[in-house]
Amino acid sequence: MTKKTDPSITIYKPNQRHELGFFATWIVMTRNIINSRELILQLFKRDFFGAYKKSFIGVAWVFISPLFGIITWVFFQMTGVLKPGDVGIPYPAYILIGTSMWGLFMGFFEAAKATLSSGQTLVMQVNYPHEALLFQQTAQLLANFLISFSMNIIVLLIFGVIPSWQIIFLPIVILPLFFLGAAIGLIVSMISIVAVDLDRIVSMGFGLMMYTTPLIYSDKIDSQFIRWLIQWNPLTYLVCSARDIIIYGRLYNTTGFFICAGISFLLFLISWRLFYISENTIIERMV
Amino acid sequence: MKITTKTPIPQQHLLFSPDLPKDVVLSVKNVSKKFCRNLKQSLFYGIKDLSQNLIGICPDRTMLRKDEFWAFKDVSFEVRRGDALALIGKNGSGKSTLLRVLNGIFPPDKGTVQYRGRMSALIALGAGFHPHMTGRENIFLNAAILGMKQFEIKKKLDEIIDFADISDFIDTPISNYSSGMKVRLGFSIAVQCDPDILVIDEVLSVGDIGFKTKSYNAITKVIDKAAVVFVSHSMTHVGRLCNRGILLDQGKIQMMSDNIGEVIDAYTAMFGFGQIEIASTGRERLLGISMMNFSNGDPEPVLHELNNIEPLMVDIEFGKPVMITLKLEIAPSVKWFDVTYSVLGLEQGLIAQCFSTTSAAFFENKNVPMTIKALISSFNLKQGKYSLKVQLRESKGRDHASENIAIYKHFIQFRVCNDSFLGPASIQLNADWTIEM
Repeated sequence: MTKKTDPSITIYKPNQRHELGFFATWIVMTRNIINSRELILQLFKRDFFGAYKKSFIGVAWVFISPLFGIITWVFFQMTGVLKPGDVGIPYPAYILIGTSMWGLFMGFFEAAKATLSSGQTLVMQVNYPHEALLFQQTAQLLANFLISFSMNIIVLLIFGVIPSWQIIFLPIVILPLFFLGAAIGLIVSMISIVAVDLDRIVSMGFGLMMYTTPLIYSDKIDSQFIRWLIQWNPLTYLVCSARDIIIYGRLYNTTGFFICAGISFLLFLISWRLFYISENTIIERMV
Repeated sequence: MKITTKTPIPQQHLLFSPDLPKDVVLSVKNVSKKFCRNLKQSLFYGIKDLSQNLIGICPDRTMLRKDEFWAFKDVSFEVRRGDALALIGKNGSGKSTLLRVLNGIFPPDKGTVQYRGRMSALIALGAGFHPHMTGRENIFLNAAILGMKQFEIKKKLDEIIDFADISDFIDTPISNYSSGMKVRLGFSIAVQCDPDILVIDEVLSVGDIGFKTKSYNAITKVIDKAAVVFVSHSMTHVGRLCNRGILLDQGKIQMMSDNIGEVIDAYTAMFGFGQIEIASTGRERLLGISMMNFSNGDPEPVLHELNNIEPLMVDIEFGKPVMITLKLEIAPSVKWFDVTYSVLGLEQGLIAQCFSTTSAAFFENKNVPMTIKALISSFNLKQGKYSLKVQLRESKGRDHASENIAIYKHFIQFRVCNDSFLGPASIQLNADWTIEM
C-alpha cells in the first residue's frame, strides 16, 4: 500500500470560483483538462467503441453513414432540382465539402451542448472536472469527422477535383468553428438544464442560418436581400473558409475570417469562464 | 451584493492551510445549503444566478429567497484520521445533500468544507459502468472517473479483481453480471483506491453475507489509516462501524457525540412502534398487565388496566430480574392454554422470546380470573426501546398444534436503561467471570 507523502488540501466554499481572476479561470480549466486526459481517453473509448459493440458490422458503420450522405447529393444533382450557379467544380463535390464543414460546426456545438447532460447521472454522483466531458465529446466528434472527411476526399478525387495543398491549414481554419460552436454550446448546455426552451430556439436558429450560408448554392446570387444576409452571417466567413481552403486553396474572405475568428475566440473565453463559475449552481437544479 | 474581485492564487488545491490542524482530515465549518421547494421558481433562480454571473455579479447566497429553505444549516464538525463518523437521521434530514456538499458535487451556500488528500465516495457504486464493456475495461473507466491514475489502477488491478471475487468473469461484458457482482466490483474499486476519506452512503445493504463481511473488514482496514463518514439507516451497521455520531434532524445537528450508543439511542427515540394491535378470537378478557424490575421482597406488582389507545410505557433496568404479570379470564370452552411473550425491537423485529411451555408446560383454565407471573431472572437486552407482544394459545394436548386465542402487540413498550453503553449487540450476555493462575 502506498501512502501519499504530500496530501493536498481541497476547499469548498460558496462562490469560490468567482474569486478566481478572469485569466486564472482558463489556467485552472486547462490544467483540469490536462490532468483528466486519462479520464477523457477512457470515456472516449467507452462511447466511441461502445456505440458499435452491439452492431453486427461494428465500426464499419462510420464509413457507411457518410456514404449515404454523398449518394443523396449526387441523386439531387441528377434530378436537376438544384441550380447552384457556377462554382468552378462539380456541384456535388462543392456541396459535399460545404455541408461537411457545416456538420463539423454543428457537431462542435452539439458536443459542447452535451457537456452536462451527457453525464447527467454521473454528474450527480461523482465529482470530477466536467470540462473533461466537453473534450471527450469533441474528440469523439473529430474522430467521426476524420473518417467521413477522408471518404469525402475520395469522392472529391472521383469527381476529378484535386484538393489544394493548402488543405494542411485546415486544422487551423476549423479552430474558430470549434470556438464559436463550443461558446454557444456551453451556454446552452447550462441554460437548457433550467430552461429547455433555449435549446430549441438555438437549434432552429442554426437550421435557418445554414440556408443563409452559401453552402448548397453559390454566393453569386441576384437577390440583394439574400446577399445582405450572407454578408452579415458570421458563419459565412468561418464555414466557407474551411470549405474554400480545401477546394480553392484560399480563405473565403480574409478580413471577414479573421474578424469572426477573433470574436469567436473571445466568445469562447467568456463562455468558458461563465461555465466554470456557474456549472455548480446549475447542477444542483438538475432534477 | 459583492462584485467579483480578483485573487491571484487559485483557492483549490492549496498545499498548506493554516486553519486545518495536521490530524484533521475533514473539517466542516458552519456549512449551510438551501434548496427551492418550487421547481419553476428554482429554475428561474438558476437563470437569474446565471445572468448575474454573466455580467460579473457574484450572487449573494446567504439569504433565503421566496420558496427556498435550508436543507441543512450551520453544520460544523471535524473528522480525524482513524475516525468513523456516522451521519444518522430520518429520511429527508439532509444527510445525502450533506454528503454531496462534502464531495464537492454541490457547492455550499455558506461555510467552508476542507479536506486533506483523496476523498472516495461510495455514493453510487459503479458510476459510469458501461454494460457492453468487460469488467476489466470498466475498472479502468470507473477508476478514472474516481480520479485514479492509470498506473495506480494497473498496480491495484489484481487486488480489485480478487476482492470483488469475479476473476472468472473479468473479461465478460458486465451486462451479464448479476446485480451483486456489479456492486462488488464498484465497491472494490472505491475501497482499493487508498482514500484518505471514505464517504459511504447506504451501499452495504446489497451483496450476500460473505461480501458484506468482507466489505466491513475492508472498511475497518480503511479506518485504520483514513477517516470514514458513514450514512446509514441500519443502526446495527452504524453501531458496528462507527465510533462517533451526528444526529441530523431537519437539517440541524441535534446531537454530536463520541459515544455512538448515545446517538443511536437518540435516533431510535425519534420513532415509535405505532398503533396497538389486537387480534382476538373473543374467548379471553385481559384484566391487567404489568412489567417491572422485581427482586425478592419487593411489593406485589400493581397491575395496569388496559385501554386500547395508549400503550403502557415502562422503564427497565439492564441486567436486573424482570417480572411480567398478566391477569386474565378465559372462556370455559378452553381447557388448557399457554402464554408466549415476544420482545420486538424497532429495527430488528423479533429479538427474544419467552415460552411458558418451556418451563411450565400448560396452564389449566380455572374459569375464574387468573394471575400469571413470569419472572425473568436476568434481563440482558442492551439499552434501547422495545415492545412486548403477548400471545395466548389454546393447547389441545401434546399431539395437537396449539391454536391462537389472542395476540396483543405493542401494548407494553419498555425502555431498557443502562448507565454505560455496552455494545451494539441486542443481547448482552451476563457471565460469572473468574481468572485462575
